[in-house]
Amino acid sequence: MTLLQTEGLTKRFGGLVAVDHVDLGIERGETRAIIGPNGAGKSTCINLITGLLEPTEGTVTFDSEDITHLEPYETVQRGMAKSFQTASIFPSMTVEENVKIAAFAAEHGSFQLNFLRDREKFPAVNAVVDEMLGAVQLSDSRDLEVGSLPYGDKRRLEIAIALAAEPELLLMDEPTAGMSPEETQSTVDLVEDLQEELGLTIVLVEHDMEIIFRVADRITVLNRGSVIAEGSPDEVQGDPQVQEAYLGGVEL
Amino acid sequence: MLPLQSTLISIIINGLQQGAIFALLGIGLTIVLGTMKFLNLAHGALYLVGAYIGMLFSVQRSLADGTLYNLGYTTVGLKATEATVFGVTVNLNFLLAMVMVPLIVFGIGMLMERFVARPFYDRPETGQLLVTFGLALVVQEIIRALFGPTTFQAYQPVQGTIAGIVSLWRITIIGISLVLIAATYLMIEKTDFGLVVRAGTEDSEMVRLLGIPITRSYSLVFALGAALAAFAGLIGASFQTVSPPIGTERALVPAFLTIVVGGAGSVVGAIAGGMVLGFVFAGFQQLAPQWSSIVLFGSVAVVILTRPEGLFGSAEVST
Amino acid sequence: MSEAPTDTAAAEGPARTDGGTVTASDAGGSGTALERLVELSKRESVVVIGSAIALLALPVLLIDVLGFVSTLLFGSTKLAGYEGLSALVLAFAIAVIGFDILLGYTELLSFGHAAFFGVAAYTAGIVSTQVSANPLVMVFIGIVVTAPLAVVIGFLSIRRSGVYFAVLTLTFGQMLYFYALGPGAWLTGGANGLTDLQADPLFGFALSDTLQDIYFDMTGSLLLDVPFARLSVEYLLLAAFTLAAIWLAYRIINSPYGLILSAIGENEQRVDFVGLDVFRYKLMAFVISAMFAGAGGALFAVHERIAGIYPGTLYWITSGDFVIMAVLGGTGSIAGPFLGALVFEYISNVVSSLSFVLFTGPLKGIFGEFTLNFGSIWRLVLGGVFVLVVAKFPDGIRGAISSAVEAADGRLTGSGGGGSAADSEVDVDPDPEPETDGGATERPASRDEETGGERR
Repeated sequence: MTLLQTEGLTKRFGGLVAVDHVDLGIERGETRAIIGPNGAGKSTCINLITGLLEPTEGTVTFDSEDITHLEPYETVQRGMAKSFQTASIFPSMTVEENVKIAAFAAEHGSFQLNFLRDREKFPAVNAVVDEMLGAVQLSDSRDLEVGSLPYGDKRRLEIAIALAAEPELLLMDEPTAGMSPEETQSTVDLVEDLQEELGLTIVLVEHDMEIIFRVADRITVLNRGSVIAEGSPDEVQGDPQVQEAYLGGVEL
Repeated sequence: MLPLQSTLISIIINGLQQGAIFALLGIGLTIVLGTMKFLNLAHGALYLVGAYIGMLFSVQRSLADGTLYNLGYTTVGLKATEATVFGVTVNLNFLLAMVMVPLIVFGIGMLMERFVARPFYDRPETGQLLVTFGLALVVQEIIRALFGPTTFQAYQPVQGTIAGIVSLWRITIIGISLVLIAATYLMIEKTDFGLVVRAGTEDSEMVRLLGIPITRSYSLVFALGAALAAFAGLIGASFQTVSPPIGTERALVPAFLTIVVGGAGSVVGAIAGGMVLGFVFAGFQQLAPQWSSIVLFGSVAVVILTRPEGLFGSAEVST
Repeated sequence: MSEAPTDTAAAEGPARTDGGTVTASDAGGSGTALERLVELSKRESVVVIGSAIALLALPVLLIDVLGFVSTLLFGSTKLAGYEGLSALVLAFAIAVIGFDILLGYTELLSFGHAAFFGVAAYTAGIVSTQVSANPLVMVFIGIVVTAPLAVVIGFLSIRRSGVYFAVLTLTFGQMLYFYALGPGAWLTGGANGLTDLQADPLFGFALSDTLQDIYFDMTGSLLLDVPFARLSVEYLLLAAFTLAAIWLAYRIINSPYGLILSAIGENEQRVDFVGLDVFRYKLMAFVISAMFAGAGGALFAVHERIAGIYPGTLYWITSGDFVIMAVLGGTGSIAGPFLGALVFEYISNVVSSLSFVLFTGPLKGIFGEFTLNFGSIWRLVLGGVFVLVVAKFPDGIRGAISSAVEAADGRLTGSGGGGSAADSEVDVDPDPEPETDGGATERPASRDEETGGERR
């Protein structure tokens, strides 16, 4: 069952075509990796899907609903979450507070008039926070100020924030960028957990091929804004066009 | 002359003159905003400084208040040196002022960039706004403390009119301003320095990577902007009153309004925006003075909301 | 995905405090006495009662205590405040407390809040002559009028961010100013101001009556001449509203809004991406802050009823004053804005009329004698301090006080303060300055006071 679908998705910036008629069909429960050389349009694609950018042409459909022109917060409320490339968190707040904000959004929707109620007194929200912190193993750090955390912890917090929204689809923009091998390993383990335990549908933008081969069901390859190959990891690895796109036969 | 014709002429002359001042102010602000992405709320203070220094060079004023007065000075400023040229009385000191004011404020601008702006380039926007607001306040208050809150009358270095309708001085001012604007425009478009400024406006990161010592350019850009604002102040003081609040009221707000209309980061935009606003303002001044300010502000609000990048701006500067 | 918000307000959940913000974890234990005091100060009841006491003590401090100190130093009461000063401080404090919700939490810098202050003031004045001179009616209508105005201005201004937002708010403020000055003079009195205001007695007590007067009227005998008895009904009215404002602000800051607005201030895009409607939250913050400003303005009108209301209340300088008060006092708290208003109004009204003859005695021979007249330089000094605060002391006076208190506590107890990983919330001020306990009102950001309050 297709969860996320794009048809003819195109984005032009003046004369530059960043995304060129991209069609994607992502099944529920699938883990899809989107790869491509720098400037291929991967991030732009993600931004079009989440609503941060308006497409010049084309549509985005999520769970049979047209979300092409929705704002990011609206797509998130409909079940799509994104974790950022650089840990996009709230540096001067505690770990717990970071997740709590996401939990409020998840439990209460995009807007509430609850400005007179004590924010500690929402049991459902607190429960979500506890659960998320447990899931990324940050429960012990809950009262620490985020700015002082090591980078790997920040990235895990980032994922916790994304998960707090209880999404059906998780977009991950280069989740292991800048990580050490150990941190990468634990992130991969985490992704595998997400797949098994939550049955999350994941769309992953990544450069690290080893990770992709471990977690991805299918790969879509972009180059200069269009899809040049799509298929299982083995199929893509052997595709000559893909090899050429990466500057001539670089070992995948 | 028929009333309609003379009204029209007034509007055109005043519009050009006001527009020129707005344009000068706008150019100075826009090159700083475009190149360094720095929001300088102290821009009006530079206009203010230019106005006072210019006034001091040109005429002698009597003091009634303030610290200088308390220290015993009852007058400040150079005595006017008058000469008659083609039957018209001209204050030659003004020529001196036209040279000295930009020069002095250019220096002030470099200092300001070094000590106030530079530490804040990487700080969030709010910090930039607050510190420059504070600086504007300090400069305004220094002036008020020195010279008192007195409003000094305008002085015109050139007396006389053409056909009894158009003041000679206004024509002269328009001429001088347009020359200056043209010169600035040419410099931005044709010289290497201008190239750096324009490139910096587009992509300062790239300029840095290309090895161009952009920090030095930053100082020059800032100082140039300051000098232009000061020159606008010098001119403004010659037909409007001079007092401490004019920095914000007559310079800062119009400068921002100009670049909003014209487009942040665009010199051409500042010129166009300045002219447009100048004419709008002059027009309403003539026809419905009570509404002139309101319309001015209102039209800017409309522009911000409908076309935030202005007439010539790029969407690059954050909305 | 989102449930209906049916969470009960039962005292369930982690047993932290009964109403404070996130504090040091329970595991951390008591730590020093100061820390325990700080914890206590976050509780709602403590904040409210403490503020009430501080508000009642304020005039005593400004008039009597300062008068005493002044006489001691200079042989005259020139350093002391006066009767109306406390009322002024409160009117502005209310406005700035609200303003800080916008600036200190949501990080939106508005240069047009005088619009709401002034409009409410004029409205209250007009109501007093046209509708009813009942002070409560005046204030109520004044506040109510600011809401739709704030929705409109906010809706238009928030569409842009950063300097454009600031310029837009300034623009709208100035439009109202010029309207009041010119075309709207039929309503506002123009440059001559709105002068025929009146205010009826409140619950039968004339506003200018002091407690002493009332007691005398009722019993025929004079109360002991204690400073407390000098409080006027008008001041008590303002104090009541200020207390309400403090309580309201406390509630807001400790609600989900406190967290969400701070988050917006720090990383707006992320808040968008967790699914929250950033625009609406910003608008709410704007409207809330505007209504606080309106309350301050309407109360200002009640206080200024004799002198009248002038276009200056709408002027950009007044807007700028709010910015100065908020930053000077310390953004991101309740105590900060209060302190800022206090210090600003004190300097603006008392220090500004001071002059000292320097030098006297032996120093006269060296430096000569001249008159140091604060009238012409107080704004300059204030501006300089403002720049200093922006550059070096982002938490303003409140932050400076907390750092000092902390340092003292560290010295006394010989420890660096509190054990565990949980940093303790520090920001109470046990000294008798007339301000509220700042602790419970911290935005989460100022947690790390120990490192000097660097928020960014």
